[in-house]
Amino acid sequence: MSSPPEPAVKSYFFDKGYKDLWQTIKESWSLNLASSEEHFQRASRTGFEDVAEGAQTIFWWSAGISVVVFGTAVFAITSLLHVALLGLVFLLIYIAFSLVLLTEWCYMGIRSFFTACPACHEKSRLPEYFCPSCGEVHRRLIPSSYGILRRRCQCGEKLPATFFLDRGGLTSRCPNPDCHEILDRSHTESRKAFVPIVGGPAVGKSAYLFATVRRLLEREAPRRSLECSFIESTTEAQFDRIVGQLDHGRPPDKTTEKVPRAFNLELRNGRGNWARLLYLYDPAGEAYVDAEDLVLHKYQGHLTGLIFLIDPFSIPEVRRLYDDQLAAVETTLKPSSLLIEDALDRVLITMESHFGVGKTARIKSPAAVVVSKTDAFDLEDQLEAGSAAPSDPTHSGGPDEAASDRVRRALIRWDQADFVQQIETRFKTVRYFACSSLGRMPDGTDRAFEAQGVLGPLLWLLDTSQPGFLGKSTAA
Amino acid sequence: MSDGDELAGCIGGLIGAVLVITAVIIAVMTILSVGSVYGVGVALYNYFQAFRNNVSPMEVPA
Repeated sequence: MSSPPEPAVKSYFFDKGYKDLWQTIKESWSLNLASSEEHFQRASRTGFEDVAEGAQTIFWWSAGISVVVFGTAVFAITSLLHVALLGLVFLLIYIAFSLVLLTEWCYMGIRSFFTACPACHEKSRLPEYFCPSCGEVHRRLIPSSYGILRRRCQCGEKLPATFFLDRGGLTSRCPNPDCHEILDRSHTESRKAFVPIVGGPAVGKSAYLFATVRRLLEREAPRRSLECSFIESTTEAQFDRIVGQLDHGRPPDKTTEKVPRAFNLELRNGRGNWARLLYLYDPAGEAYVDAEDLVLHKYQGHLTGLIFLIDPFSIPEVRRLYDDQLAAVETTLKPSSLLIEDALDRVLITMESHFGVGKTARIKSPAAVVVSKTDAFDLEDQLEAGSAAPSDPTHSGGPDEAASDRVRRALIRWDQADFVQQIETRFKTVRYFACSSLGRMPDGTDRAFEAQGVLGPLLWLLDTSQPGFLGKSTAA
Repeated sequence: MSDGDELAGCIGGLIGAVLVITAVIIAVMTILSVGSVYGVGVALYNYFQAFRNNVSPMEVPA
């Protein structure tokens, strides 16, 4: 596969060396022809009138013939030497850059480094880099025929061609020609986790996302001695705004983007020797109404795990339970209109048709099924009801399994056995959770919302799919 | 002159002729060799002339 030329100066031994060699061969051949012709002409101008003249004639003839015969031989030998020398250096350079490239690929592979665009969600080995001097785009800034460790841009600027020489310090962009989003260094040089929050319209995905991120920043990160930062100022501003809203008793605004931009959060350990980048996705619930809208959710091709958020009030049986109370709080509770099986179906259809998941294959990424809005009415009690031993710490799988079992049983009681069966058939690992992203029903007051149980699903997903992603807890 | 003298003269003439022919051959061969060496030198000179005219380092923008 040939790549388009780069705006860089190619190594002499991969480009100009061969042009020079060809020109040298051509010119030396024509010089030889001219020399021999000149000698033959001199020989023909002299004769054999006397001994001296005869000797001269013999000399010029022999010189002419010698230039043709030996000249051709010398020309052939020197050309071969020239080719051999060029070829040898070419081979040495080729081996050298191949070794450096292989080392880089191995290193990046071991550390799970690749590029994931937060805007178009395209995954690629490397981004495209800009020359800091002239702004030209280098599409394949790797050890190559343009340079083993560094290359020279057409403007003369020397650029690092490998990860080991701080290539990540250059400004980069997404290689997708329809996107070209400017990327941060950590979009490539960090271990990543991709977690979409799936659910129909109004299930509370945004409230869940911000509550989770807030818990992670304020509680879990200090426990694990992690330093968290937003790599985009717009994300940070959005987070601060929504947190401000939540602190004043106002739920987040509705998400309108059907193809969401990743909500990136960078995590570094205290010593600064590793970085992780969390990609959280909060698409508008309308995206799950039509499977076609999910085609552009390319992160589904490299999922770390999936958080399937369930609005219990989108379940007919739950609605029936609270029929007499729902009408009064319909506007604040905002029950989702999309059935949970339909949302799951659309995710599965998209993954099957566009992301290479077989029709009967089990998806290796874990799925956290999260029943939200548990603050409403006595839903907490409803979840407990029917459980043999609510939150039983002696459950065979431990307290977390017991809590999962409790939610699973509740879903089955609410006539969602088909959903439970389908998700457990299609996903290899499933766990059930219950949470309240706001902590209470919105009541129009400015009392701060206090989320409950929101972080558990994310921590479980990361721990199941990428053990050690968040480092170790340092809390006692 | 005796037959012996005639024979000696004949042999001497023959030796002289051989010597002259040998000298001529040596002279011609020498000239040919010098000419050939000269030709090799010219061919080498031509190659390095062409090399000097055509091989140059990469042109790197200032």
